[in-house]
Amino acid sequence: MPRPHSPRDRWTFTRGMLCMPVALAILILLSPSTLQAQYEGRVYAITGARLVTLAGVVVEKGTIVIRGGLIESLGADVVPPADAVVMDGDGLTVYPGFIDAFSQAGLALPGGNNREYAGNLAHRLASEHFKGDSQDLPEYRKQGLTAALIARSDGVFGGQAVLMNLMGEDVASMTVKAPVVQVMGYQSQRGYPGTLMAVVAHQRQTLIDATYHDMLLTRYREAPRGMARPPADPDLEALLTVARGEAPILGIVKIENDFKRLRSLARDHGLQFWIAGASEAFRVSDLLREAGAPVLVSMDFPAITDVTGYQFDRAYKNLTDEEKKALDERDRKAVHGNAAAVFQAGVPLALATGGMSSPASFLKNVRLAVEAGLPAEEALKALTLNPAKIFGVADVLGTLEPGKIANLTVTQGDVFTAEDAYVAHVFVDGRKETFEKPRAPTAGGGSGMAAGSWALSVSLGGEAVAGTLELTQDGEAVTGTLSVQGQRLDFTGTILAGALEMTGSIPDLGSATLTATIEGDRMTGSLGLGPMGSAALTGTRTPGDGGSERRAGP
Amino acid sequence: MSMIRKAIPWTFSGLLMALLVILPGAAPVSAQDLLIRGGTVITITNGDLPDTDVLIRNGKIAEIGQNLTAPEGVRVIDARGRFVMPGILDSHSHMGIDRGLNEGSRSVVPEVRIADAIRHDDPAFFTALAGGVTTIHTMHGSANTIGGQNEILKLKWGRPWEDLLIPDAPMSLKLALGENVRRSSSDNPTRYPRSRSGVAEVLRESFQQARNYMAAWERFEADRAAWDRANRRTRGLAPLPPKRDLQLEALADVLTGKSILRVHGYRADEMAMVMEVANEFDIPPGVFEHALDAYKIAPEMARNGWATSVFADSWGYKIEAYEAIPYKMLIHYEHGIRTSINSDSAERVRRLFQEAARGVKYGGLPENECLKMITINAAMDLGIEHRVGSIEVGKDGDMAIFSHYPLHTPARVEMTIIEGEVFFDRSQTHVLATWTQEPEGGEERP
Repeated sequence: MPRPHSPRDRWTFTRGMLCMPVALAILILLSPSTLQAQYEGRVYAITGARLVTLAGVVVEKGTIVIRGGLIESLGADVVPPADAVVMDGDGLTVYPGFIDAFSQAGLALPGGNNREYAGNLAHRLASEHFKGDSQDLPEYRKQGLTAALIARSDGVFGGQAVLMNLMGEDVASMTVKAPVVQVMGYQSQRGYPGTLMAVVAHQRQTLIDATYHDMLLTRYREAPRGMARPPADPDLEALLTVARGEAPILGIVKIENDFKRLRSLARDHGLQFWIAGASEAFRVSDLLREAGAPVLVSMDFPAITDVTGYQFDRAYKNLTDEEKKALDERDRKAVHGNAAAVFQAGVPLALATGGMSSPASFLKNVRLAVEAGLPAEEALKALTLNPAKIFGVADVLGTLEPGKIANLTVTQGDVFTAEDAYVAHVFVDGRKETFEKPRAPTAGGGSGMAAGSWALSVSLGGEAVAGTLELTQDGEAVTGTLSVQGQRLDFTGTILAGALEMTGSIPDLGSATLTATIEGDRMTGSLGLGPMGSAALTGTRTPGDGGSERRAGP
Repeated sequence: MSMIRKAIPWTFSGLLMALLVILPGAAPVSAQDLLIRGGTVITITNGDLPDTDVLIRNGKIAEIGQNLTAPEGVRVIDARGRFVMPGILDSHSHMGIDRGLNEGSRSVVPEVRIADAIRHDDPAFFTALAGGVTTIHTMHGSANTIGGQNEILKLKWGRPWEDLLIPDAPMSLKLALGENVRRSSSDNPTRYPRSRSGVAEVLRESFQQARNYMAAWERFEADRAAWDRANRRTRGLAPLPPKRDLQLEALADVLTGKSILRVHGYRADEMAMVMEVANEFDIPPGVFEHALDAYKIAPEMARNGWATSVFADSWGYKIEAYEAIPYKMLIHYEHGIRTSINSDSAERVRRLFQEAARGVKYGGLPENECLKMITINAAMDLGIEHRVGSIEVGKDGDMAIFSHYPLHTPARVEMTIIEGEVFFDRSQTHVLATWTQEPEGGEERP
C-alpha cells in the first residue's frame, strides 16, 4: 500500500477509505501488476523546462508533475508539490514519450533449429516472445523511445502486434494495448511457403480459408443440427475480422513491388491495411495517397544500390564520374526523404526502428529525414500523436496532458535538427532513466571520421574471416581498399553522420557494396557481394595510425 | 526518354489541331508512334520486303509499305541498309523473378504465380534487349512435378512492373519430369515422388482431384439454382459451396484449356507418358521444354499436336541429355512439330539469333524457319501470336533492327523497340562496359 506523502495524498487515501466498496471492486478488477504500475514510483516535477505538449501551445518555461505513473499536471504556473523530486529542467525540452511504431525491441524469437514456423500464427501475441529485461531495451530508450509496437517480422501471418512500454517490472505491466493489429509479411519459411511467390499464394489461400471458416461458423451457430461441426482453428478465427475487412492488417513491405503485392491482395480480398517498413514509399507515393493507409516508416535506410530502379539509370550508360556522383546523391536524398514523401502523400505517418540492425542510429536518421524535407514538427508528431492515434491509444499516450501515461522524452537540444542534441532522460510509466551526454565523435566535422586503418571481421559462409580496410577521407568523400582472403577491392563512397556507404566492383562478379555505421573507433555493417549475397562485418580502428596517407613510406 | 520529351509538344499541338481545326484523321502523336524507314523488313509470315517502311501508331503496326508518311512530330528511324525483324521472344526464361524460382517444399504447387514475384529492374532485361529480345516467358523452375503459373513479360526496361504484363495473354503452367524432380525430392526426405513412375502417378492424381473439384462446383451450382427456384418457405437453408482451392483452380484451368501446359522433359518415354495422361484427361496439347529426345518420338508428338521449345545444340551435360542431337530442329520441322528455341538463361538470351542460325548449320533448315523459332513459333507457344511474333498490320510494334541479316555472323542488334518505343539503342549505350550484375536466381540448371 502506498504511504501517504503529502496532504493531497492523504486526502486521496482518506477518500479511498470512505469509498471502500468501490475501491474493492476496482481492486478485484485490476491485476496486481496494474496496481503496481499505478502506485509505484516517485513523484517527479521537472521545472523550468520547455514543454512541447502537442496539446495547445508550447510552454517555453514550465513545470510538469508526474505521479503514480501518470502526468498529474503541467504548465507555466504549476508549483512542484512538496513530495516531488524536483529536477531542474533549465535547457531541457520535454516531449510526449516517443513511440516506435513498428519494432522488434525486446523480441527473443527461438533461432537456429528451433526457429518457429511462422506461416500462420495469427492467434498469437508478439508479447509471448517479448522480454521485459531484454538487453536491447536501454538502447531503444536512449533514442527517446518509451513505447513500441512490437511485432515479429519473420512471419507470413506472424501474429498480433502489441503496444508495449519499454521499461517496467514485467511484460504484463508493460503492456499498453494487446492486441493492436494483425501483422502480415513477405518472409518465406522453412518448408512451405519457401519463396516469395508461394508466400503470396499462401496469403491468398489463407484469406479464402478464413472467409470460408467464417461462413461455416456462422452457419453452425444458426443451424447446427444436420451439419458437420467446423473444426476449431484459432489462427483462422483470429483472422476473421481482417478477412471481413473490419480490422486492418499491418503489411510489412520493403520494396516498391511489395506495396503493389499488398495493394492487390487487399483489393482482391476487401482488406483494410496499414503499411510498415516502407523504405521505398517514395517510389509509390501516388499509390499511398490513393490507399490512404497509415504508413509506419522504418528509419532503416537501405543502401542506394539496393533500391528498386538503381540499375535503370546506370546500367550500360555512358556516365561520367560526375554524373554518377550526382545520381548517387539524388538517390541518397530520396532514401533519406522517404518519410517526407509519405507526409507529402497526406497519409498518417509514424516513424519506426523496424528492420534496423541496431536502434543506435534511429534519432540520427530521423534528423537526416528532417534534413531531407520532413518538417521537424511532423517528425515529432510521427513519433508521438500520430502513432497514438493510429493504434487507438490517443486517450492515454501521444501528448502531454494531465491524466495520460507518464511517458516523457526529455532532450538536451533539438534532436530533430541539432547533431549534438541528445536524450537526457526518459520517463516510462513515471519511471525515470537518465543518460549521459554521448561522447563526441573521434574527429571534428559534421560527418564523422572514417579515415584510418580498420581491422575487420567479415562473416563469410558462417565463418569469421579477418581482413583490413584502409580508408582515406576528404570531407564526406571516402575512398579505400578492403583486403580479405588475399583479395583487394577498391571502394569509393561517402560518410554522412557516421553512416559509411561505399561501392566498388569485383572483377568478373560485378558490383560490391560496403555499408557500415561508425561510432568512435568501431564499425558495424555489411559487405554486399552482388549475386553472392551479403556478409556482416565488424571492425575496430587500429590505434596509433593517422590514416593510410602516412603509411606510404617504407 | 528523350523521345517522350520530343513527343510532348507534339501531343499538345496535335490535340489543339483536333480540337480547333477538327481535321479528320489528325490523331495526336503519342510516345508510341514511330516510323522505321527503308529497311529490309523480315515479316516472318509474309516474306522479306526490301526498302520497306513500317509505321507504328499507338504501339501497333499501322502500315507496312514504301514511301509511307507519318504525321509531323513522329520520330523517324533511318533503317536503310539494315534489317528489321519482329522483336525476339524467349519462350523459356527465369529472369526477373524475385526471391526464389522453385517452390520446392512440395511437389505440387500450381497455386504459386510468377506474376506475384516479378523483379522488373533485373539488369539482365537490358542485356536481353541488346540481343533484340522484346518478350520473355519467365517460368517456375523444374524442381516440382507441378510447378507454378508462369508469366509473360515485355522487357520495358525502366517501367513499373505492371506495364510489362500482357493483359490478354493466356496462362501457362509448369510441369517437370525426370532428374530435376527426383533430385529435388531426394534433398527433401518427406517429399513425394522420388521416381519417374511416381511423377506419372502424381500427375494423374492431381488432375483427377481437379476434375472432382470441378464436379463439386458444378453440383453446387445446380443445387444452388434449384434452391433459388424452390419455394421459399419449404426449401430450407441454402446449399453450402465447396471451398475455393487455388491449387485445384489452377489445375482446372489446364483441364478447361485456359492454361497451357509447359512440360520440362528430356526423355522420350516420359514425354510419351505426359501425352498419354493429357489424352486421358482431354488436356489440349502443350509444349515440351528442352525435349532433347523428342526426335525419337517425332511421329507420335506430331500426331498428338504437342510443340517443343529447345536448346539449339546443347547436349551431354547430364545423363538425361546424352542422346540429344543438334539435328532435332530439322527432324521436328520435317515432322511438322512446331519448335521454338529458348535460352533458359540470362546469358544465352542475348544471342538467340545466333542460336537460331544453328538450325541452318545443322541440316540446312530454311532461314525463315530458323527465325520463326525465335519469333512466331514462340508466340504460338505462349498463345500470343495475335499480338507478336511477326510484322503484320495490327500487331504490336515490337521490332529488332539488325546491322546485318540476323543469321549472318557479324549481325548485331542496333535498336530494340517495344510498342513503338525504343528501349535499346546501341548508339546511346555503353555496351562494352564491365558493369554487369548477374540476376538473382536468373539461372537454373537445365
